[in-house]
Amino acid sequence: MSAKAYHLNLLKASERVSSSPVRLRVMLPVLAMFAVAGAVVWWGSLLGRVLMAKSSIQTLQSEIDTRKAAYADVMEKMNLANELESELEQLEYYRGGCRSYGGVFTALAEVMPLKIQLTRLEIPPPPPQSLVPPGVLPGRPYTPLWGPTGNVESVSLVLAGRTPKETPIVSLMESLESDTFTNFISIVKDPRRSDQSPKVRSIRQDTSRRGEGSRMLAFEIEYRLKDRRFAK
Amino acid sequence: MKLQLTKTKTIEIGGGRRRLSDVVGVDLFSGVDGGCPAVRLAEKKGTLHVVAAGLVPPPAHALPESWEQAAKSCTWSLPQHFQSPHAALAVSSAALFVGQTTLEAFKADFSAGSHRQDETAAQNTDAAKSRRIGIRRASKPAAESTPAQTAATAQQTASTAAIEPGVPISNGGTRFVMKKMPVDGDFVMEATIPEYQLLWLSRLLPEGRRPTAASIQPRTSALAASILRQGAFAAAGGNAIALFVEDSLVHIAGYRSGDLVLWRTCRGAPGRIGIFDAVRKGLGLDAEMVESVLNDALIDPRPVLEPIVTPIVDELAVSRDYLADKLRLESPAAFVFGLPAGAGYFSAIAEERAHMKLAAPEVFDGIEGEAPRGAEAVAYAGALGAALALMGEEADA
Repeated sequence: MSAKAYHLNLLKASERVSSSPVRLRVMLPVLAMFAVAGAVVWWGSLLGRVLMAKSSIQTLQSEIDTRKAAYADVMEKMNLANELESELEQLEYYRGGCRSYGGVFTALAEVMPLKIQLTRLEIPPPPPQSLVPPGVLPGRPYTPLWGPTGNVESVSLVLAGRTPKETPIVSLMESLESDTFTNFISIVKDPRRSDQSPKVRSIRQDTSRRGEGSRMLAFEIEYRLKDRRFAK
Repeated sequence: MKLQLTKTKTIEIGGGRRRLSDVVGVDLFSGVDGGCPAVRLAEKKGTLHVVAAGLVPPPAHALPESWEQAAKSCTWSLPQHFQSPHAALAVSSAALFVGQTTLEAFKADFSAGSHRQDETAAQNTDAAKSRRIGIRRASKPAAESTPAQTAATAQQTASTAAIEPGVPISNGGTRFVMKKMPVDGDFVMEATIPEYQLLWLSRLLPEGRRPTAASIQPRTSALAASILRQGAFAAAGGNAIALFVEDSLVHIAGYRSGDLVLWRTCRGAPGRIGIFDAVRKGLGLDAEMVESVLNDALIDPRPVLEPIVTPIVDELAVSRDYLADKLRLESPAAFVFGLPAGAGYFSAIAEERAHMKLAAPEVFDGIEGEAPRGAEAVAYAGALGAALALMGEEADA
């Protein structure tokens, strides 16, 4: 406390009041207003962000809508391209599976004995492939497959003709086992195998009434040609 | 900073006092015609300025004279240019007491829980006037207590152990405050006021509106502070003896290095009104003519003045000798304040009788800004002193 004796202040410190007091009854509403204002600003910013997100969603949606036709066109073309590619691939497979038999027939003419009269030279259609799903026991019901699963097709050559005796047939068969036909004809002489080649289907007395059939032998021999592989 | 939790509960936040740089001093109930003198002071860059000075409309009600009257609340506001944050109220009241006393006497009065009216007013009726220096060394009998005072006494169980210099304390329906004087011995300056008057004054300037009361002090002690910024006072190193002439009282103050070391009231001396009345009656003048006669040299008022002024000058000489003998204060500067006219005659008489030349400087000397000058400024001494005392106190705190 000051020692200035001329200031005799009779007012107690507790009785002193302020001209600008901080009043709770004023500050609380002010603080509440600030809090409300802060909340409003926060909610406002949140709302703004939501609106911005919504507007960007709409923009993206409209862009998607505008590009939908183009996208569908692109997808259609891509499907078409895939389809064409698959067709092309299939055609490639078919091209890989192409076999020319002109050389076989030319060579066949060369080695054909004079005593043989070919009545039929046929490459029959391949036997149908199995559509049974793998693992199905025989006799059990099953749902057949949509199509063949293998890409290998067996091809056979059927020679049918007439001859007065057996010798020319043997001569023909020997000729067909020569190196000339190695690239075309498979020779498997084991009779137990299913792919036996050549397989003599029949050799019998010709029973046709006309001509001199009664003195001729009719034969039918099946040769297994090299498999057709549908691959590139 | 004060935080008001409820209407009655307020807590203070932050540090203690800080320097007040904008204060309005108001002189309440001093009897000045036309209103209450008010002076607004502001300190800017270490220099004191008068922001505004003038008479403001007084409060609607007079100072209460009983607890019943004090119960009626009265609020007051100042004109806008006087609305500083803090106000220092200098109060004049017949129930106020200011004087130099001893700590022992103060404690005795405090224990009695009595309030004393102005010392001179009481002593004027006292046949056994002491011729001592005017410093009371014995307690006076307690006045009769009113029921309200008795109730207040019951509530306030103050003891003398709780007395601290500068801290107001209530007892027996009276508000006490004292400050030790920087002299050898237990001398203190004491002020008392009835509690109801103080409470009424404390509610006069309500909270939340500029200004609010930071200080309520007796006008008499505020006068003692009005000298602080005087250029001649500063030039004398704060060593001075001053004569303060109030309307009905005359006080003598001694200063050493700017500190108040002596305060006494001239017993039996009439104040300014008494002196001027004597001149008016002695010279057969109208009341309006007294000041001009005292300022001019056409008519010599000394035959009328001397019987009144001589006792005052004699007491002034005694006080000067006391300062020289007891406080080793040799040849202090001498001033006279409170006289709108006739200060020259005071000085001439003092020079003849006591070889002292009394200077009568302007009230606002040493303070910058537009302020009343001359005789008009005399009425503002109380308001100025109250503001200076508050600003000086806060600066030293």
